[in-house]
Amino acid sequence: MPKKSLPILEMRKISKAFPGVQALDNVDFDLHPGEVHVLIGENGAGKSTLMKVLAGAYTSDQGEICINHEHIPHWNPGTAKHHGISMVFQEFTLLPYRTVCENIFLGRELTNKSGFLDKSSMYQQAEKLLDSIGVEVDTRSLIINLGVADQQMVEISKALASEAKILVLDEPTSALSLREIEKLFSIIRVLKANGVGIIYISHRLEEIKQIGDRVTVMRDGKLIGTKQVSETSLNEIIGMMVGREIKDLFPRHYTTPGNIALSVKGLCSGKKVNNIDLELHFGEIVGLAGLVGSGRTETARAIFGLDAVKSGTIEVEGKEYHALTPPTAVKLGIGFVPEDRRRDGLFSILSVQQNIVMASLNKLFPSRLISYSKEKTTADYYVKKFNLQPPLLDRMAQFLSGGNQQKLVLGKWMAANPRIIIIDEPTRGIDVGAKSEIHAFMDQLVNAGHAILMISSELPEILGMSDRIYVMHEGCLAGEFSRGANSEEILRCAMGVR
Amino acid sequence: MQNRSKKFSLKAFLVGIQPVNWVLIVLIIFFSLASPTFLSIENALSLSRQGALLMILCMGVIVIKITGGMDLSNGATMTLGGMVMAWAMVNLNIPLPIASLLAILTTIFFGFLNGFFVSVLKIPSFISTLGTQGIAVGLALGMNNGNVIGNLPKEIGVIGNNDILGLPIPLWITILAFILTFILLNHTKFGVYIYAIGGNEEALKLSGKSVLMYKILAYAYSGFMAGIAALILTSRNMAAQPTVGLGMEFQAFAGVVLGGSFMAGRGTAIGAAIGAIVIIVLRNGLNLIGIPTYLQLAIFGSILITAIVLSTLMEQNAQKWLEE
Repeated sequence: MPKKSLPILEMRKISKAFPGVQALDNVDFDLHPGEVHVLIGENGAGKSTLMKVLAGAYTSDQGEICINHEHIPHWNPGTAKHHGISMVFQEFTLLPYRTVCENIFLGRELTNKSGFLDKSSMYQQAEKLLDSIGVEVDTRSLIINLGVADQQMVEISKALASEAKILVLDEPTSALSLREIEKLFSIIRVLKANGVGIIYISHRLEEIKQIGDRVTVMRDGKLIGTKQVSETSLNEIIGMMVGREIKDLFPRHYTTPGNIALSVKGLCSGKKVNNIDLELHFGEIVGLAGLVGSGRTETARAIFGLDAVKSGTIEVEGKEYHALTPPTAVKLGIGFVPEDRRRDGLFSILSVQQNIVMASLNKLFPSRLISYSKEKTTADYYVKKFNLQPPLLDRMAQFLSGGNQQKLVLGKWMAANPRIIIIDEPTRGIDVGAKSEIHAFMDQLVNAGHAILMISSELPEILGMSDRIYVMHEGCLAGEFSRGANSEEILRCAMGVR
Repeated sequence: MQNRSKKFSLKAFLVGIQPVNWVLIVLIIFFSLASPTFLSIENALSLSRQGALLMILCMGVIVIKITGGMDLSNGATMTLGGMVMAWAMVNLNIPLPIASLLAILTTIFFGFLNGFFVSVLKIPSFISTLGTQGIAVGLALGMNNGNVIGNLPKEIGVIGNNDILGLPIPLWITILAFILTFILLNHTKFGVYIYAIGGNEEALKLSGKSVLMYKILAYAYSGFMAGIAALILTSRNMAAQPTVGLGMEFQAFAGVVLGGSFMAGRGTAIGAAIGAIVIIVLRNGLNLIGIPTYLQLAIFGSILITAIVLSTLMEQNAQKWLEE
């Protein structure tokens, strides 16, 4: 990599705060032409916030952005586009029923002199573009008929067609197979040779060595360090990623676990759950760790009966089932707190009160008639118990903050009093105060004899809250650890590094 | 995606045919067997006169339908356009060409109104076009106290009842409307963005285009088509009747859906045209073999649902059948 070149992009002393969270704290980041700069860090480390600032989607509270050493005032989506910044997000922005070519040219269609679409030129140029980076996709195929990998390639081609000088790839390999990743890397090498600067966000450590020139590690909104890949080791990078202090954020009181609450044997479901064995006792929190996309959520969904189970058994308090359905799961005393609380966990236009009783209507009202006063008493109890802010029963769920929404979802399940609780990402995107409140509550629950299966992408949370830890990697169980395990070991296991 | 070869396969060809075409073929065969007059040139020409209105409305609806919306107001605005035209000619002695222009401007205005409600105020199209339908019906009824406006100058009947080169003028206008819509959807940026709004609005926004503007234009286009239909309608009847277009919006919507646009981002001008023809043929055929109106409605509904179920099933299974 030519080190003497001027950086094409410099982000200086960028800070950005959200209510309750300092998402970015004085972050410096730069990028040279023809370089792959890997940005790595756990969920919530601030990577995507930094990229959103770069895209102009967020305005930073402090700091400046320079292009080719020149300070650009009033950075916004328009200026970002103007300076050749293109992003490929994990979620594609393609039109499913349109052709590859139309997608590549969306918004920049070529027209002939009379103003009609110049389809033949567009197809020619699209083919040339795809050929130049070695992508073999028919420009006339509809997007819906392509595999994920090819869709990814089209998304990248679309970014390139707008003459990107800076390309941001957010977890580009999360949906790709090994061979497809190789293809992506060869495309990246072509782009590098053409002088495109690439910011590469990834969770996969092995990729840093394969494709990265420099690597920057972020943690808790701060920049921990930037290293030349050739001069660093995976161990050093892992060391930079973890190393967070665990303070009062994780108030656990460990007790001796009781009987087996849930036992899963040889569970297979879909493509991401292969032969999973796990055991959960009353009175313990079991952490399910792993990278995003490693199949943790899918495992939980299969246990709860949301996804079809191909094979395996699920034993609930000693009774064996081939598969559960959500109604039977609830009857057996299992609660499921989903990852995306806004979409799956709440009725956003119903009131706090209506949300709280939603999972326990049968229990609260055996006569099948809803009594407003009983509903109010129940809701009032949980609002106080969880310290929901503001403590208004008639507030619509959508107007609560993230932390309070999560408390509301927990309150809903607590009202149903499940013996076994599956929580997917209990504190994602929640400020520190609400986090420790939720953790304290989980601790109370297990001490009262409940069992909790907790999925989390935050390693400190896994380490600070769990009695035992299972680690998943690419749909399989990769290891089991007891409390007090070494965080680097777990990270290695989750990343498939031996 | 390895097999780029384009070898002809009868199976792929048959599976690739949209169900609406099968429905049309079945209907034509059935009615020609059931009624001797069905397959006559005379009937075809009269069909093209009667069917022009529906077909032209469908050309407007398909554009809105691709963006993911619907238009329940076009039947009513078409009627209002006719009333405006007749009223202006009778009460203000305005010459026919200017009166026609007035009618089209009225319906385009309502289209813009729909587009404004849907895109700027973000009111669901079902509700906003239902609202403008009400306004248009009210105005149409109010213009002459609910009565027909007749006594129009003779020349008004030309468009609706005369022929050019042996074909009725309404048929020519229908063909032009189809070609215009086809070109708009397939050969202009406008068309690309209309499909983009239905397919993934966010993608269009990210590429820096105004979603608002193209949505408004889509509704305005449907208004324009309703205006053209208003001219033919008034000319054919040589009078303007304030309730004549009621219910047309549902037939037009059904035609477009039959033609394969049952999802945002999907649908074609050809599909919409064939969908419209199915409905025209069905209505005509059922009349010819003497089915009472109430039964016609029931049959009409059943065929609509059957065709859509068929399409959905075919879509889900087409890949499987091809691989077998």
